[in-house]
Amino acid sequence: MAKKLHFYPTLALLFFLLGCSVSRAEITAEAALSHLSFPLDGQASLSLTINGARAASVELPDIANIELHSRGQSSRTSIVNGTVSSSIVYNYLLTALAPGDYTVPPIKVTAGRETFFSTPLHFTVTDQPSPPQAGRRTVGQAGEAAMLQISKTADHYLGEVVPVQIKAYFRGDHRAEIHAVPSLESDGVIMPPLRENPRQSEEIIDGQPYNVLTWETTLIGVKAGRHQHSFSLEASLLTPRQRRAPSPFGGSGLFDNQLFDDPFFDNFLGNYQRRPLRLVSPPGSFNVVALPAEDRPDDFTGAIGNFELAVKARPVELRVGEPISLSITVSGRGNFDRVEAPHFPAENGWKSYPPSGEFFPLQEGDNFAGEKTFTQAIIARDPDITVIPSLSLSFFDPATGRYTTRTSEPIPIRLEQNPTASTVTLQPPKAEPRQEQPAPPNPATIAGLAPLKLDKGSFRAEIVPYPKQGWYLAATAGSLVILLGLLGYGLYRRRLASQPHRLRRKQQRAILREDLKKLDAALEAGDAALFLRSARTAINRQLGPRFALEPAAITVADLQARLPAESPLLAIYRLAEEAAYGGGEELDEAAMPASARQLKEELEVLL
Amino acid sequence: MSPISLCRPLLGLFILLFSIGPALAEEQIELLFAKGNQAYSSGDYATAIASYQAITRIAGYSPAVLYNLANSFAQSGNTGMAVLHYQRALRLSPGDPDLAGNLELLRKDQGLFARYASAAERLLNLLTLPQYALLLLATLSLYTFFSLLALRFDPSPRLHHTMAILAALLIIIAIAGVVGHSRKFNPAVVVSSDARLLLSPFPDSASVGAIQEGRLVYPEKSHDRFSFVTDETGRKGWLPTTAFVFLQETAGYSKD
Repeated sequence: MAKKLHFYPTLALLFFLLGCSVSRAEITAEAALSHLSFPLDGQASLSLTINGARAASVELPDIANIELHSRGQSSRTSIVNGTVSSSIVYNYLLTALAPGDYTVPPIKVTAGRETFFSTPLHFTVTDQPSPPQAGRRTVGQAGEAAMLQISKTADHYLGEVVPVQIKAYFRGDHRAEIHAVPSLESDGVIMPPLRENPRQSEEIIDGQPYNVLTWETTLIGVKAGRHQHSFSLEASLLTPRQRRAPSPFGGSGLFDNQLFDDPFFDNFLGNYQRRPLRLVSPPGSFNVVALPAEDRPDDFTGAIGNFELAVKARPVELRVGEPISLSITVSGRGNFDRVEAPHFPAENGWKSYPPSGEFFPLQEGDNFAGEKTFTQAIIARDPDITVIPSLSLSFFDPATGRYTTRTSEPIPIRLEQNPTASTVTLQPPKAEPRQEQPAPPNPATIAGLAPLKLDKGSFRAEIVPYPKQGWYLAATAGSLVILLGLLGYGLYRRRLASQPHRLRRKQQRAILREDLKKLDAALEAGDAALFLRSARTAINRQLGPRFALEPAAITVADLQARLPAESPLLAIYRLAEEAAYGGGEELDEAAMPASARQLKEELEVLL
Repeated sequence: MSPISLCRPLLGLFILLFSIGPALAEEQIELLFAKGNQAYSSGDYATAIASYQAITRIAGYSPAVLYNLANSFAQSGNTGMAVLHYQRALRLSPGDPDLAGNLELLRKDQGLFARYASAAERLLNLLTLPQYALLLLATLSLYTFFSLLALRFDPSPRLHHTMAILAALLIIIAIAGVVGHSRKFNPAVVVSSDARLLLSPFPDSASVGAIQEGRLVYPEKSHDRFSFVTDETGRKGWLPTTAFVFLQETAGYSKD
């Protein structure tokens, strides 16, 4: 039963593996440029498509006077008639520093253990403005089965975060499959990766219901100038396939039933036709204007948007030398990644530490609106200080087209002069200072750290992980060698146990070795009686198993019956029997070595 | 005077030098260590850092010295160097709770939060690379010892099988852990307080965003004075090579 249970999953896995391996596509790398000629103030999009791989690493070439900026990647896997195909597209923005003829050399792509190269691309950078772009097919008119619409963009500042809405419309009587999120095609405008779960809604356009997918995102201009942009979306439209004449018997027969002509049955029966579709938005214009140089504040860090500044301090009643935690909150809308903590004026009796910041978006995944909170530790060293000075944040407001500076109110504090002026290095801010210590030059910034080590410990020349240290390798190798030895010994023992005759022969050999040792001892001592006793025992113990008799029960008659008459064993045994039971001749000491040699030879032959 | 009698004083001097040299170095290290600890206790972190760094230059790396050095950097507000030295100390003494606790506290204090780890990553991070390596060695050694004892005492086949399965399971887990961690054994730590990830390896390139001091980054390739890195939260970009320091100093990147 258990075997049956295992059989079907194994078979299924086998079929799956076979299917996958059979349908595994050949890997190819293709590079393409959006423009083969563009002006110096323009850009081109370089796309590198790797077909037949699910993961790959790309090694970009260095081209003199050419900069390549990564614009993300997209991947796609499809299974058609059991054939699995995968592709990855890497997008780059290509800009030039000088006009001229250039070549993108073959780009090295590594997928698994294999390496591929794309074909080289030649392009020209001119110092003339580029001709206007030719119109391209767009799908955007009401009544279309599907269309892609983008909210309007106009003039924007360099680095300004511009919120845009991308809407994909699919007519209500069609079903659609989305293969990937919309992608941006533009030179000089970038977009963060889109979320894979867009908002879904319904809209009526010219009386026609549409299912709408909406992505809220942002665009950022990275280079001054006017840039064309458009978005595209790969999808498949599933349109109901109209059945043929409802009745094979014409239009008025018995089976001509109007009920079965209802389109419901087309849907119910899953009778759809798949039509691949590439939606392209109408081309838009994005004019990027450089930020004005005049009236630019010194503390401007590149923040563009509209922000508010709030500063809090805790505690505000403390002793000189104790730390104050400043909480600086910048809230609003804009490019928060360029918002940095306001500079704290560290001179005039203050000491400050680097702030740490964290961004909290208003909505998950929205980096445009929210608040960024900075925490900074400051310490008042001068007992005459009465306020925490005001902080300021400068940013460029695109709505007004001017730089704006927000300034916080000074925060009053009350400092107590500590007569012994001290702080403990590892105490939290509110801890009582130790009276006996002198004032520290640098009070602690992290409270609650475990104390110092008092034993310096042992030293190593370098930081090397265990798996690379000699002793570790030796110990591991030693253990492995012993284990392998034991494994070999175990196998040998098992083999021996499965072949009883070999085991028996081995045991007999051990017995013979033991008996011959006694024989040699008797020989060395010149003790003829002991010699004959040992010889008899050796013969008994070797011939007993061979004759299938108890060794002690063997007699001269048994040997006479089974051994040739001239066998030396018979002669030695007879002599030993006679010596044992009396009346026999004593073995001459001089004959003992020859008898011993003969005995050994005869018994070894028996093994 | 015979040659032997001439050599005898020289030999004595040689032995004296070789016995006194290490003793003097040992004494110097003791003094520097005590000086560093005293400076730290009185809040003079700059002196403490200088003392511990001098020990490292003379004698190499010790978990305790690296730990004290990291504490000094942490208290002086130098988060990047503190994280770097805590991480170095953890490589040498992975089971030290003080080390792990202080690093965790510092990261929390400085907002160096890691991204949400998948179940497989959490499982992998139950132990560090040295701990997985030790697990592998301990399992191999104990199973070898058991097998040797089995030759003498001949345990029941049931016990033999149980031990073999247990050992195989632990060895598989340990090897998976070592392989899983070894890819990221030598990260770098951002030590610059105003580092920014760039889109391209050029000083005036557009920025992807700021990267916090103390973040672990994994450099993949370099171009001129920039390295393409992935940080522990998964962000990628180019970073000036002066903005980070490797845990295990490597050729071409070595600096302190």
